[in-house]
Amino acid sequence: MPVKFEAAGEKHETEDLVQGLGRVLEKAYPLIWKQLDGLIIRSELVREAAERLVPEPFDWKEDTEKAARAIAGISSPKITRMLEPRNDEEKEMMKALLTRIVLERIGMIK
Amino acid sequence: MRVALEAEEGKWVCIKKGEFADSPEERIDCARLLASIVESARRKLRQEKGIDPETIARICGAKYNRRQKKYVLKGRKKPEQVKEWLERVKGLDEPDESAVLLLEMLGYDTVPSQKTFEEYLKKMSLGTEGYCPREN
Repeated sequence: MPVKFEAAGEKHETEDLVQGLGRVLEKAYPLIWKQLDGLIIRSELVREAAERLVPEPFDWKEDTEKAARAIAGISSPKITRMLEPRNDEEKEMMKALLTRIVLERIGMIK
Repeated sequence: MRVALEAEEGKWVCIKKGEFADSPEERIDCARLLASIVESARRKLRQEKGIDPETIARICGAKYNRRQKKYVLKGRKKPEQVKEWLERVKGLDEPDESAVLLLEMLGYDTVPSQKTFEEYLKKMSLGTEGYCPREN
């Protein structure tokens, strides 16, 4: 058993370590934020910010300039104001979720 | 929700398990376990794929931070610089994962650090910010 993973009622098992760990990341990442959704961070604001930074999904490898602008925008004062964080920790939490959504929209993570 | 990871390869063994009810505090505990699973899986996956943090650090000029135990590049990054670094990691064997590691060095983490997570929960559970997860 190189990798056995179970979450949200789904079970995955594979002898291929790389494939198995890849699947763990694919499944576990969204679940983290699903667990926190609406509970401690205002994720709707984060999604709006991500859509402003990346209006249409694209592949970062095809346009690194556009990808770089979107990434740099994550920590811009304009986006921070839009997120309205109530403290530094919330700012970091929201920034992490925003980064994840932006990277998904530019095809860097699944 | 039940969450379980069992993985093994040679001397490397990773077992993380938990079962959580659908209450606010247990959802937070579940997120904490999932974040820990992601961290372990990501570290091992990068190792298996031969992604060398030093190579990425050389590309952007990040320095190893002993306290944080990772490569970090402080300060504001201009889009032109980020573009240049993305162009360089694009040419590596594992471009997507290498780019994610590059961005982590630049301070763009996709999962909050354990410290931020704990500090945030502590602050919120004190009820000073208008929300108290333990009472919901």
